[in-house]
Amino acid sequence: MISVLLDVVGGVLLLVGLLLLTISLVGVLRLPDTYHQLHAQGLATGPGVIAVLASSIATENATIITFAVLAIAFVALTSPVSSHAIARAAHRRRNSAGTGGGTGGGTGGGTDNAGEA
Amino acid sequence: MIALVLRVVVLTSIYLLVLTSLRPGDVLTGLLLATLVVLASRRTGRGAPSQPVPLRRRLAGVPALVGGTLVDLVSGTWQTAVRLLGRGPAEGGLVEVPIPPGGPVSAAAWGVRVGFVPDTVVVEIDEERGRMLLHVLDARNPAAVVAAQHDSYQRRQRRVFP
Repeated sequence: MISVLLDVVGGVLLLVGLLLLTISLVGVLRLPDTYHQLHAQGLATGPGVIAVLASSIATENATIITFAVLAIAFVALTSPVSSHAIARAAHRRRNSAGTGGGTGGGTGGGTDNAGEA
Repeated sequence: MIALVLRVVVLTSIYLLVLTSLRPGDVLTGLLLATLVVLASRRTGRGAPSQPVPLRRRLAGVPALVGGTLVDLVSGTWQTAVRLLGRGPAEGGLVEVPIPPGGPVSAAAWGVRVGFVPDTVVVEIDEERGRMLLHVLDARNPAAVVAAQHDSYQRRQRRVFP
């Protein structure tokens, strides 16, 4: 009974993860600039990958599940950092292009739909 | 002292999880490595809390931090997916969020927590000037974004990483 339940949960998590990865791909292709594309890739590198890894629960193998849990922890810590690094690079490039030189430190506020990519 | 022992235990647990082993030799090696890492980080001053908060109080706030972040993750995932498939990103933009002076650890925790949710991207964090620059998918009302961030900080993070 529990085995069947784990199979169902694992299957659902796998489907959700693959769906999120697909939506993320569509978003990266559709969206116009770096910032917006980072939202799309965040869907894949965060919840998408986590759902796929969590589906390993269906294997009922302690070693595989342990590695999946560790991978989820590392993804949770590294995914925001990589997004931040790319976003900051895009921000500095925009500031550099806007001021004709120099980096860093610009202010935000309001909306920004200018193309980045 | 309790905090140091806790760090050694957590690091040893991660080491044993990576090995998926509970053999005495592996446990001893893990304890030795974890102790060295903790002592080294203590000597360099890294990993110290930004403000002296009792360990018990910080640990009590961990469930709210983890649970709240998961709620934010599910909510942000749904909103991002809907926007990617439907209305598009016409209202996305940059919002500057003032952050309280809590030191680099607090700012880093805030950045990781917020950056983990797909509908917000951390562009810049400046803990010295007390500001964080976010890109959000819905920036029509920047004041609401700032209020939501501060509310999230108060309810989820402040007890663990003030």
